[in-house]
Amino acid sequence: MPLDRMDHLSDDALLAAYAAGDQAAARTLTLRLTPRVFAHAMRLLGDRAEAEDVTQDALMRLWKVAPNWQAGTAKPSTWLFTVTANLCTDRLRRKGRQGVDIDAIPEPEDDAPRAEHVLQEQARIAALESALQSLPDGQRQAVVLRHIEGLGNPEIAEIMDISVRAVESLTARGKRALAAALAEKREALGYDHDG
Amino acid sequence: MTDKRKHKPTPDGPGDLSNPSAQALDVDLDIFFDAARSAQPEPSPELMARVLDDALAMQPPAQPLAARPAPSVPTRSWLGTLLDTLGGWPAAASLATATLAGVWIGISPPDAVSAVTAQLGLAAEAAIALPDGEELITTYLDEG
Repeated sequence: MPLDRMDHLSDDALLAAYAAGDQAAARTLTLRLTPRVFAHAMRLLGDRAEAEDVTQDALMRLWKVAPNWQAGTAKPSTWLFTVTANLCTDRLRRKGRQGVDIDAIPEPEDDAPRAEHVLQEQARIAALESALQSLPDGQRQAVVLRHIEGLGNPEIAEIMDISVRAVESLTARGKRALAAALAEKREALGYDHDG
Repeated sequence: MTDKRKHKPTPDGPGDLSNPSAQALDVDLDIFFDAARSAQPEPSPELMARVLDDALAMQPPAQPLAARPAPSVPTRSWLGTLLDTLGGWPAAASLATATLAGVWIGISPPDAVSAVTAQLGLAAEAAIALPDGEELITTYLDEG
């Protein structure tokens, strides 16, 4: 089946087509899922090379289970987020968490308004990523899934294998910790101006 | 979706911003989350190629149409068809019992049956003489 005719298919349907040997389904799934997995791994690990390894590993596991996938039991994307988070957690534990120096974040230097805006956005992203890395694993994962990936609490609970109430608690504590870390950079990051 | 954790003024004023927790509440995290969402880390083309290579390498071979199992058509044996016609095993059992009983009564009639047939003048060895066909037709025409 041509790629453009597969775009409207659900992940479940694509996975079934993949398992039946449809190469177009393999390409569509790769294009659809790889960016999401990589972005999530990148936010959890903060390291591009490691995030790439985790992405390849997580998707490898999806290809492996595809022939036995039970359609309708779980969304492939939810399953992938779970696998990705577990792989990231394993890596973080193996190498040990490294401290984050939030003061090392570059501050905007260019006076041109447009360039300043771009630099300010980049500084905010860098500050958020650094602050995220300072959170405990569970809080970081819950905050990323909720506020950056945009998932609902029930899906996050399924991914993290905890209750919805626990997700709410982790998210709230994570946001408090983030706010505390970012408050120190408030002037440099300019959120007093256009937030 | 995200909370705007603006500092909430207290009746005594804007709060003590020297307190770290009060400072934390003054941060609007949405601008950070918005920035992060607008700049999603993109995978490199090399990573995309590696993932696709894996996908194709681990993909089960496509099944040709001839190799796919044909949908099974339920078949019925002649006995099953006969049973269905009769109404199933219970009906077949009743029919068999009635048939055997009839055969047995014919071979060895009970005394009660013999008495009835004797009263009707139908001795077991008696033959009933029936008029032949021509006689029947003549009688019928004569009587109108």
